[in-house]
Amino acid sequence: MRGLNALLRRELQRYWRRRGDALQAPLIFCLICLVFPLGGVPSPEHLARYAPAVIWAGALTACIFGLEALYRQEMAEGWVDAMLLSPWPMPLVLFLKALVHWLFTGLPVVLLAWPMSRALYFPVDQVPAIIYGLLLGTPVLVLLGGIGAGLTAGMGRGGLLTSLLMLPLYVPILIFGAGCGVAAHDGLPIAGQLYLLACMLVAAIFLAPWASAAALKIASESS
Amino acid sequence: MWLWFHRLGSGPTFYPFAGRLAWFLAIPGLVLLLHGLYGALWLAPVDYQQGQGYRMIFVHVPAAWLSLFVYSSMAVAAIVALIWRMKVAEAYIVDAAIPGAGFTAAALITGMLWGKPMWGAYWVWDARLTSELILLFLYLGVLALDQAIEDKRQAARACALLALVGAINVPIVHYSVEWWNTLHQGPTVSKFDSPSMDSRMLVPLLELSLASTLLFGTIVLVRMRATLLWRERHSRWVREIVESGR
Repeated sequence: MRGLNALLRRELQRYWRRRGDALQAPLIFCLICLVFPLGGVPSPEHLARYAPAVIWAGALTACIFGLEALYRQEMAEGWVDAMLLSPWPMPLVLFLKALVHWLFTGLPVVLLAWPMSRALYFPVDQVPAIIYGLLLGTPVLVLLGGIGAGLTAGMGRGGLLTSLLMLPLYVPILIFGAGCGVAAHDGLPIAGQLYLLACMLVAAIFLAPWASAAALKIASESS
Repeated sequence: MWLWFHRLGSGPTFYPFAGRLAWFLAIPGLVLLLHGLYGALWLAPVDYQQGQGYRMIFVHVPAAWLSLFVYSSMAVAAIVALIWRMKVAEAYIVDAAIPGAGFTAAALITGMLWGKPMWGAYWVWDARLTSELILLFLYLGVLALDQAIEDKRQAARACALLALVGAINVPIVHYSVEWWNTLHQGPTVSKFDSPSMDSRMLVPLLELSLASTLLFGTIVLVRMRATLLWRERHSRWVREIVESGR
């Protein structure tokens, strides 16, 4: 238990020391949200209609860019091999890592989604629907993304490949997360989508760390 | 039984076995293909609504069936490859993914060609079409991952994990896309809504589906033989085969 505490502290420190790097993901999120009004019709009804799609496109992109920071350096430094040899269960270690990663890259996106959805003229009463969707959905993106990041961790440059591998798997989260905002915009109940997202989150918490551990094990076998 | 299973997983036993099995699948596959095509293109009557255009189904349905069948078989091979590290199963994953991606693309393209005259559009955001498109991306992801990793055995294990995660995801994607679609638009055109088919159409359709499955088996076995020869090119059994000139 003490070891895991130390591990958690190390992760927090590591991200805190490179908080500038961690801020890149939320910045990309804001920029993607900016692209759509500039590239389309900046009229309130159009933007509000598409706000959930825009916000989720931004969140997906930000998450995928952030995945690069998850294991690449750890792999190069030998941290992954050390952890595989350590007495702690690898899935638990990776779950803690994903949690800290989400705190520094996912949570800022969730918080920024409030001003961003207002900037896209999304009705103020309905903004919580987007926030709840992101709050339940972004951890799933990080946990699932860990599998793709693990598989490509050993490669020189795997960022593009990770997004190619992960985006098709993100489709259900996108559908229910953005669907939450769309339903709220149309004045429909959103409980169904939120329950399904919560369901996916629980499944991802219990299954994704195992798959990520298997992926890192495969990636570290390259010799 | 277990001993046989394990021995089959190694190159020297699998190579000649696959060679015989490929012929065993190819001959009935070709016979069924020719008979099915004759039934489909000459004997089957013209559809009273769609005219001759409906005959696209004889290519479309086998391709769509194989796109799903191949991916599920890859998931089974992935389990075998990850648990028993069986070389044959590792070879199967990538060697099946290439024809699998081809069948998925063929199902999409034939569907689009059929959709233009029948629905008036090449593409609609129907649940079936969308999940088939995502399936194509899952195949391409497996192939891209295999290309990106130098060590082919490691690549195969990585692809196995990805195929397995993808296979868990395919039903979730399918139902979520269906749900998304029904949320957005009302009733969509679904080809299985049609009343049951005339047996003169149904029999060739089933024959062609079976024939293409058998021929897929042939293709994949030939590919696996080539893969195993290449991967084990430094081993003795490969040298013996090459020297004996078989």
